[in-house]
Amino acid sequence: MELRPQKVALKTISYLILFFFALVTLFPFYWMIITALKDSNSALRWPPELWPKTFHWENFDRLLKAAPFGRYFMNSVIVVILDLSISMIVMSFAAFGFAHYNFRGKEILFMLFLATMMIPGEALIITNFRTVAKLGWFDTYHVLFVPYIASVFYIYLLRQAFESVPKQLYLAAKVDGCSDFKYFLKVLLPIARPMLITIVILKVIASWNSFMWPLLVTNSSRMRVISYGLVAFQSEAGNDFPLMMAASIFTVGPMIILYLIARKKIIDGIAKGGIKG
Amino acid sequence: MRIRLEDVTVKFKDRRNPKNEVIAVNHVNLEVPESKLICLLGPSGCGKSTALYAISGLQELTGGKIYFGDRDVTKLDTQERKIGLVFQNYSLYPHMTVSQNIAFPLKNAKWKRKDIEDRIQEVARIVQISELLERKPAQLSGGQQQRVAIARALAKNPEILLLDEPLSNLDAKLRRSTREEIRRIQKTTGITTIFVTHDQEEAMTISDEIVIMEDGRFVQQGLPQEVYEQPANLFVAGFIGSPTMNFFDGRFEDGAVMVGNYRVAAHSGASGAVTVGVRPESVRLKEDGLRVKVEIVELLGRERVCRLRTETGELLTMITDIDTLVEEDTQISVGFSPGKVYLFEAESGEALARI
Amino acid sequence: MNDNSFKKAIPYLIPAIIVLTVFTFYPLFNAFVQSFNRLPNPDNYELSLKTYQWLFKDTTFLTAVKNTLVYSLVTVPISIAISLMIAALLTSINRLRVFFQTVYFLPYVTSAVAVAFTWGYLFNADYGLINQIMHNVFNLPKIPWLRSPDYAMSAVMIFGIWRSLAFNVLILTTGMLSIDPQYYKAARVDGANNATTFFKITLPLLAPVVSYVFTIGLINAFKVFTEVYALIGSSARVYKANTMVFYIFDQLWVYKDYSLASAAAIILLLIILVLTAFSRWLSAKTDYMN
Repeated sequence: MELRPQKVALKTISYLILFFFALVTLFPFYWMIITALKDSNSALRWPPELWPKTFHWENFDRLLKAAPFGRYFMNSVIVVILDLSISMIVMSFAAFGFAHYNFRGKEILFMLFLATMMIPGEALIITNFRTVAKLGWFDTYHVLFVPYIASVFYIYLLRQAFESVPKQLYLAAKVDGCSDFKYFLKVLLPIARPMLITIVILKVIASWNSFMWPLLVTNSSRMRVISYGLVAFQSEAGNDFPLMMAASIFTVGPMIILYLIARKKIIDGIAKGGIKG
Repeated sequence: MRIRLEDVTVKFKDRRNPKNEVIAVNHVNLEVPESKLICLLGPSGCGKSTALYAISGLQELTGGKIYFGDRDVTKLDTQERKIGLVFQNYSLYPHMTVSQNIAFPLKNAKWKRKDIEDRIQEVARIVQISELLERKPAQLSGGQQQRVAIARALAKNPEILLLDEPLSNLDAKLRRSTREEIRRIQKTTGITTIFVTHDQEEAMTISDEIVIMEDGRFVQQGLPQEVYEQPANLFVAGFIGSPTMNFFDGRFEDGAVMVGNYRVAAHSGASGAVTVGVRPESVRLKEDGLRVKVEIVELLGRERVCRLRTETGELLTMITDIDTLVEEDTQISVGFSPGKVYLFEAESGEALARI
Repeated sequence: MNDNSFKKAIPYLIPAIIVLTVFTFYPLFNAFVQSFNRLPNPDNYELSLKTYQWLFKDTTFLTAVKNTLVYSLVTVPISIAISLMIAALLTSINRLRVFFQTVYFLPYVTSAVAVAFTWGYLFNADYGLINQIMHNVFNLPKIPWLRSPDYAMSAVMIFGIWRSLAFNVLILTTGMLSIDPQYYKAARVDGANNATTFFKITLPLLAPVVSYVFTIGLINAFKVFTEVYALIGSSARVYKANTMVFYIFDQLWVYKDYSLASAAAIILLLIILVLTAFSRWLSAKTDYMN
């Protein structure tokens, strides 16, 4: 088909608009990275440097001396790992219980589970704050994730994945000498692997970026996760924007890398499920 | 291993109406001799798969007992029964390679690694899939998947092999060759085998004995030729054979069996109504026989299949050799070959005699 | 399945049931009870409707409600309008579509707190790029974006729109791409131009998806907190940028008034439930396929 001039113009305008919004989306990230490499004074000056004359990598050294971001970072990593390993067990167990067995009241119980998705988490933190205080859980790793290990939405997705496996496979496994648990472990979980991976990735992102709950339940700086550490650092940094931006890079960097690696999984996962929060 | 079923019953609750019970297997008895292949044959929904699952231990019995040899296995779990089971859709584990699929039951039974490897090679040789061992099920054709399923079932040296409609997902040509393949494997291994199918031709060609099932009951057990030649009742007579047997309302009159005005053969005994059955190949041209109109004639190479209609409106099928000239839209007269006419009690359908 | 299935299922279900009971069902029940407690301390109870009366007289709460409403009603429609345009353009091109999609979705996976600091820098009254450009290029006065009751909420909303584009663009683009091209061919045969096609074919067929992002957007907007806290800081109240969740947080964290916090949370819960019901109704009404 031959392109008419009108059509070419339309295409050009489309691309221009798309590029403009891409710029709007990317600019804060660009500014974050560029500023992190400027010296503290040039970050305050007009005209701004769009590309620094010299890269001040020492900003990262200064940052690590000013605040324990290495510790914050490791705290976040530890919490994400603990959160994932425990929540994946709890959620896949629950999904298996719902998918594999039939008992009176099963669907009612499941509806009750699903109904919790409508409750804003913000309405629950008031009591949860007191519950963990009474349990003496302040300033621990587990307080940061235990209340969120049974995400109903993911249980729902896993149940669907498990139920799409033909029932005959269970019979075959039984003939082959499998217990129910072994069938779950050796047959169902491997088959549901694509769904498990999607959930793991989405859960990593949510866990890493969580903010309000850590803010409430950790006091000592030793137990701060990275997002809270960042907020706490704000008042210290004052107008030292390069330091602030360097700290921000610590926070967004791992997720950007994860996103670039698992882009398709993340986008498909969100697009398919819609998603909360 | 001999298999014996004593008064086996399986009842289900009706899903839509829990108060109702569905009797899937109704007080059946069965003897399967050692090293034989027997077919459980019946239309879909007759309970044959349920019966097979009951033998495998996947289905709990409502009543009765099952023996393997002298061992009462009624209360045993599936994995304790030493059976291999091949499912209708093969049920291969999609995430495992062929060799992992075959190894799976062995690993569960805690075999040694070396033994498992040897055994995989051995069964792969028997079912001829040695070159497919590293593939995933999705990369196999239906026939190959079938062989893998059989290999997996045979892997742990079961005493009994159970096959649930194993050929129904294959196309006609593959079905024939796989059927022969199953027969060959069964002969080489000498394993007692129960084969469930709804396809009577399949049953006739593959099995040592056929058990015919209707509505949860075993209605006849016998050699393939036996059930063909001496059907126990109207159901068996109608189910076995293709094209199906012709049936007529007949009656006893003056010491003979009559269909309409056609005197089929002399037969003394009861009087009153009777159902007369005759296979298409036993219908032939005969003067002074049953007056019929030829509606359709199909030429099938070696034979002619003719659809005929009697004056009273009943349809019947006749198979004649190719040299016998029968033309459409003509009136002819047919009779039944002596000794090939089956009489059934009109009410109960029980076989009475062959004349 | 046999009758002892429940016994077999319960070991698998029990961890999730315990966690949900302790951290979801009980807190929900407790928030409800607590919201009727006249006393701020949850260890003593005196049930009455007083808390709600106080709540609705509390000007801070009323400002928070007003701010939340303004935030929701401004950011959600604007964000969806921009997203619809981007999605329409994205579906009209082939080259670079994946690149653009990747870029647009980036804000969704990155920490709101960290990105908010970059925006805080951009909005900074003296050194932020926005004011520097306004002042040095256009000779306009510098605006104290984050430190003024007149502008703080606007800054939060700009940031909120920027952040919410990611999700909306993704869902709307996915929705548009899943429309059967048959309809577009039919429309072309019927002589419809691009604009007509978009308004008469794409939008009506996309209505369920639009209503979905609309309600999800509203629900999230009503829960806005991190954007405010990270951009304006704990003194958001002073700059009239506090929201309902911010109010709950303040009552809990600063004033330790569990009753007021609970009452505000119950009001939020009711709003969300109404929005959810509305979304059900809307999606049933707009789904032409079923």
